[in-house]
Amino acid sequence: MNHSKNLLIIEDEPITRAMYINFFQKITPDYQLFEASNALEGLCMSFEKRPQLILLDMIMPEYSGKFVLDVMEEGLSKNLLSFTPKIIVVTSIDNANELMELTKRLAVVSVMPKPLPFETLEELLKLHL
Amino acid sequence: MKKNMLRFLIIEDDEMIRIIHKEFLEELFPECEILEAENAAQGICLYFECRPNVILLDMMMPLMGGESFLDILEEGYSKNILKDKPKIVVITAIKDVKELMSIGKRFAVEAVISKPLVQSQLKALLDDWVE
Amino acid sequence: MDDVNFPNIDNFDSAQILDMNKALKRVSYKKELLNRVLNIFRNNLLEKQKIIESGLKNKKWQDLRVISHGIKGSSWTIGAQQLGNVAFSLEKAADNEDYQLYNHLFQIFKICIESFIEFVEMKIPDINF
Repeated sequence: MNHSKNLLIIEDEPITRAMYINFFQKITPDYQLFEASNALEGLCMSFEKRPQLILLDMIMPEYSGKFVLDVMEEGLSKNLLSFTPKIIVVTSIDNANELMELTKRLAVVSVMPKPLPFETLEELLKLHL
Repeated sequence: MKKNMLRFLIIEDDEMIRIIHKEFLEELFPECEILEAENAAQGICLYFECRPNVILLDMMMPLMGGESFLDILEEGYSKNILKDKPKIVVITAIKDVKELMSIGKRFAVEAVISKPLVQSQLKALLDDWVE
Repeated sequence: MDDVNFPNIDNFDSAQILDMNKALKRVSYKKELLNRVLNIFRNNLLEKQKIIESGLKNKKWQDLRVISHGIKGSSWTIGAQQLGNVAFSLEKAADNEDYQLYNHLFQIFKICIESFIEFVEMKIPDINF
């Protein structure tokens, strides 16, 4: 399972996205960073770049983060993928049940709140990378 | 497209129709490779993993429909992430003319065929594309 | 609710239960393939019948739309004209979220499934349903 040294950020808000890029540039300088501004582009990039970790915003217009999770879950459960996507989901949902459901989704390794607590993310990265 | 490089992807939720398509294609092109997906999500995974050159696409499927598949391909090409363009044949039981026309205009869609598929129609298309 | 204007089974009588010529053509005249395909079709019909029962109880109109549409497509594909026509009506009733009409047509649909199975068992004695 050859994973590249790539990271992917799927976030529609350009300022938020820039913030994440900045963070990763500092904390994981040896990783190549890729961005997607919507779920469709995000999926394309996931397959093309096979990042070691994907940061996924759940709330996006038209196609949401759920779309990405649905495709990855189907791919994983039916054994169609030649790589193992690992997704950190970023969401402003605070309903405990909904959050629980998110953590159970295949490919999801963590669920983070919005705004993103960068210290926690740093710790998470040490764990997953 | 060379005969020995033909790779089909059938995206169709009905098992019986999938089998009929598969048998038909295998008979026409014994050397071809055939991939199958029950919904658009599986179709997307298989497309990216295996890069089929001809896709038979059903539109209405549970969980995720053909629209999603077309959307993601369009996005991939417009953002220059995907390079080779496949040929998509939409095979659908949709009867609404406006809908059918708009599907026909979508990226990579070469033809929209009504269900039940008239196999000679599909054969004619494929004969045109394959050396 | 007034169902005097609802179609009854006679409205679907003129359609063929199974157009054997069409069916055979569909499978390139391979008898074994026909048997295999008819078996799958019949099993799927019975499965879908159950799904419709529960979908109708819970008024899951989008699901009912998709499933009716699917039955229409596969029925017409294999030459089961009558079933396909009923499914077409079911699809339209689901589009309109018309519970009374959908339920009424569903009763007709169940009868047509039985007729279909009987017809095939008669025409193809070795079908082994």
